[in-house]
Amino acid sequence: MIWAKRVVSILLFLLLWELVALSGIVPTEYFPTVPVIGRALAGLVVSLEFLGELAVTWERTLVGLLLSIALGLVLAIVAARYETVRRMLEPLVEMLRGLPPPALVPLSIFAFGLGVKLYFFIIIFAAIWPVYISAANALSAPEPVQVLTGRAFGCSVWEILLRLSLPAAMPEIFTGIRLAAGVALLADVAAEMLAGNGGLGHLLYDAAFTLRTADMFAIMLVVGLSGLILNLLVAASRRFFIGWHVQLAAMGEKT
Amino acid sequence: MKKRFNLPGLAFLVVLALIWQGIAILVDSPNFPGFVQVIVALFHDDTTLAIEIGYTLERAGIGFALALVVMLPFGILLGRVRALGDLVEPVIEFVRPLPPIAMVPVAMIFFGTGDAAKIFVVAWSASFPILINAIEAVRGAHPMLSTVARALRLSRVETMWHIDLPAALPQIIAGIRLAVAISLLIAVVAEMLLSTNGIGMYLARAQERFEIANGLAGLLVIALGALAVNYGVLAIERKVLRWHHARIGMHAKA
Repeated sequence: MIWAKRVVSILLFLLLWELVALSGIVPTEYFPTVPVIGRALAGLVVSLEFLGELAVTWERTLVGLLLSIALGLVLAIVAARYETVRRMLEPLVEMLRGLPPPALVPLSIFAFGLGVKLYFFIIIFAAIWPVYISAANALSAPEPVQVLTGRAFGCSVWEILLRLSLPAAMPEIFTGIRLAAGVALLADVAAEMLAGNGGLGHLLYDAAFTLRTADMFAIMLVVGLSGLILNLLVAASRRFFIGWHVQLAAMGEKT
Repeated sequence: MKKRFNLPGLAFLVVLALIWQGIAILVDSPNFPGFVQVIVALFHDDTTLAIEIGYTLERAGIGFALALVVMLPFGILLGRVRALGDLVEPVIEFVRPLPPIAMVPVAMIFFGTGDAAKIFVVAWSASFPILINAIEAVRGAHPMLSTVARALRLSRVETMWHIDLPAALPQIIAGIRLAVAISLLIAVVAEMLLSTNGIGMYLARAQERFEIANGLAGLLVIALGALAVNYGVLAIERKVLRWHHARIGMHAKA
């Protein structure tokens, strides 16, 4: 039922697009009709070159995201263990978080060149904060009962942190990871637009500058779909890692 | 909310700056400016930087205001009128995963590289957090509130204005805070891609001229600007939502 509604809604959207394109309110070379975009998309999808660029973007985004998650978690665990570290990092995190990651691209090119390190740096810079903040918050405020139980079993502070608080914090951490995934793709595409050197962002910018609008919209569609798939991947891994929590929450609710 | 002076945090920043300066002295290269050089560049270029960040803030502000004025009522409407919401929401979900920066080329084609293009991209990207939070907040409001509205015989528009808006405000403001941060971010990036002026352009130019100290000074200005805007929004939020925080405070004992 919900799928039927979605399909109807998307079809209406496409119809509206088609009407605008055909009406001639905006020049068709800037606003191609749906079939033209569809043909452009089909042409792209069968070209090995395009698939290669798509793979480049995905590889950068996924590796960058995994690095961000690993670094963010380690940092958050240390910060949760030592309150001083947490407070030490606080103003720095506030300041760095306010910086738009793409703004770092020009200077990072000096530091890292145009290689893969550049993209990883930009992605980590963008995606580490949601992970760190959600994990640090969740780990620093554990359930007192859990901590007391752990202590009663004679667990050390580290054991309590890693074996009790960390699993308990997983749902919140995954909220941060979900945010980070979106941000990682965004940062990667932006970096590719600015720095060039392959990837969907580069193709998109190229298509726009050479006024291949049908290609441009088709690439945008691919970028959007990539975001959607990335989101689904995070949701699936969330179910894989913390399915127990989802079941518990379902039992608690009366849906 | 107790505000303590964060001594370790400040000390850490100072230590980092000292280490940075130390390495810069050791490396001794114009391509690796130290902290002091960046501050010197900051004050050397202070009028230019102030003007450029002014452009950026202006664009971010206009774009954000546009998004707020259009999307807040629209979101409340979509949340309140279920059938309409069901129809439009899949479309929102469909275009939302698109990175806002991917809209820059579209804006360029339709609006050129002037102010309008950048403002459009900012407004576009700021729209989603506002819209989605407004819809969710209105839908998630306590069912009792709708009953009250009906008992008071409020019209649909009155219900939206007097009941839905205040009830949804806490969550909407969370969305607004996100939208403000995004506005600034996108304004800078749009300026880097469609360069005419603004702090994004300043950064791009610093790169072209190998003026690394100036580039870092520009980044510092953006970071401080973002921090200031964030505090401003927090202050406004605390004022607007005083009643809400007061109620939460009654429940929690923190």
